[in-house]
Amino acid sequence: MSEASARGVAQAGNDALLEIDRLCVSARIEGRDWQALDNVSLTVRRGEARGLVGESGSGKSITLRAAMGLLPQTLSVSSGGVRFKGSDLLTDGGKSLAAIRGTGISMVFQEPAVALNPVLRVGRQIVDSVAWRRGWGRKQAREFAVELMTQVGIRDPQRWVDAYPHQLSGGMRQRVMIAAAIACEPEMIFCDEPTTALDVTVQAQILKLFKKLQDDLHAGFLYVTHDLSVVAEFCSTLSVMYAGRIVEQADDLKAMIAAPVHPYTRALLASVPRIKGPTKRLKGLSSSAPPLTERSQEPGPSLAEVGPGWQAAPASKEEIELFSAGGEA
Amino acid sequence: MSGSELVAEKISVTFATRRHDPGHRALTDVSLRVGKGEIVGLVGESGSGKSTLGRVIVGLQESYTGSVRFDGETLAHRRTIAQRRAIQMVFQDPYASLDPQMTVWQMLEELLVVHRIGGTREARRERCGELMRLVHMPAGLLDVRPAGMSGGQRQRVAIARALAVDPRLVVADEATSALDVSVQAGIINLFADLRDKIGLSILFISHNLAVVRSLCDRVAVICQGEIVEVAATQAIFDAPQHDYTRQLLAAAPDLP
Repeated sequence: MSEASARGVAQAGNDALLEIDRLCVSARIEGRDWQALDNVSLTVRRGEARGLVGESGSGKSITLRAAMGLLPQTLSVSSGGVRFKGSDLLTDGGKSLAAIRGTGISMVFQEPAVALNPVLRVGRQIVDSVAWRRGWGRKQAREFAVELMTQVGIRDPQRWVDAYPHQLSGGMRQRVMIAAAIACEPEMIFCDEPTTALDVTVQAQILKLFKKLQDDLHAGFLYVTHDLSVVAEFCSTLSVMYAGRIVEQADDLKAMIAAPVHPYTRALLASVPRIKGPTKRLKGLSSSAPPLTERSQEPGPSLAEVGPGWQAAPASKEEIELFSAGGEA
Repeated sequence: MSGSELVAEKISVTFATRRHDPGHRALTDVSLRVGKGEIVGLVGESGSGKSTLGRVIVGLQESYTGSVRFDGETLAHRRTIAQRRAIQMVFQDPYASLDPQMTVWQMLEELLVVHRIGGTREARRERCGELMRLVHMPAGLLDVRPAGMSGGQRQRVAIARALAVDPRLVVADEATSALDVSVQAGIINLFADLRDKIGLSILFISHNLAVVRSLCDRVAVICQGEIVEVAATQAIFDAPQHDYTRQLLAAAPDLP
């Protein structure tokens, strides 16, 4: 375990719900394997909302998809593990994954217009999994759908339960997807940019709904987004990814945002425009993550403890230069 | 290149799908001014009419009532080539707005030829080099196609293309919304530099309040086809007057 902790595996207590442990994912491009994820380790406890933040190509969505067994065919887990309540999800060929999907872990995606089936009424999509599991009839299932729609804040659910996705607004579609995600009372919810396509007022309502679900279900959240402001609204813990690696993570999001250690985290925060406080000239990054085939294939340095429940990767000289330049290209 | 004053007055747009259809009113009596060398933010949610107003100003939306005046001259609904040249547009998605088959040089040169700028090929080539410098891009990328560039570089090319014909006003419609936050910061700085260095006027359309705050001199808030509040940026954020503006501000996420 000493090597594991040196690698940055959070010291998971009994309440650890999800543990991603030194997960490596490789991508097959033109007959060669390239490392897409390099020893990604993180923990989500019961009732915890962890933000997983990074820019395009950082590997944040791949991490989420690998944990859910939803990697596209060109990607595969090359080493490492994903444990849910202590049992490994990736080793038995997907059996335990199938068992926990929906009841243990469920997912909310970015584009409800794409994720929902356009030819099924929304009520049915919400309860399909429950009805199948519990052997419910149509009437009972429909009643439950109405109940869930009320719970996620859809006004007049009787009117919408038999509607098709295209008849709903974007915010309502996202609520429908959340209703489907919580139908089986999951212990853990994976979110992949769930509010990115929504207007700010609708986004605020959805975040409020997530907070309520966190309180009511005491569920854990792994919340993937590129939007640091959204993460700061909803999450209490934070992991930052860059080029397939976690560069910094902390159990106290506010502390990390106030005094980031890794130069990339600092640069990322300096590029976020603010609503309050003094307006400074923003800092652009001279380059975002290089494409997979141009990255170093050596494993990166292990994360080091920089404070209680706070780890950061040691930054190389080049990285410090790259991220503090504030280039305009 | 230098900015000019744009005055849009009592613009109304109605979209009707069939004859005799009363139609949907996208804009109702909207008036907006963009001063010389000024960046005005136009903020609203989906369906508020912010893009429609941008299209009217650029000349892409030809059916409207009201008037668009530019440097004192009232612009016709169907613009002349000189009028089109004076007001240019940058779109949200550089993946969609650039031709994947053309190199940057081909895209820029085409514009110069159409608008009869630059004379000889050498002069045009030199001018394109200048444009690349203006948007902080290496001139070597002139011979590259969009697929060979990052999202931020593509948006810089889209901006260079808008600037190629010496416009006096640029309408940027969600020009940073598809970009990563660190790349967005660079584009915001570029717009600010263009205002400061060449006095460009910009109408910056966005749903993102934080971005608007960091870039714009004044802000107009649009809701359901009507402008509900216009004020200096600081006033909008420190002391919003309209309920809808307050709602938007309360909903916007922010770093602690």
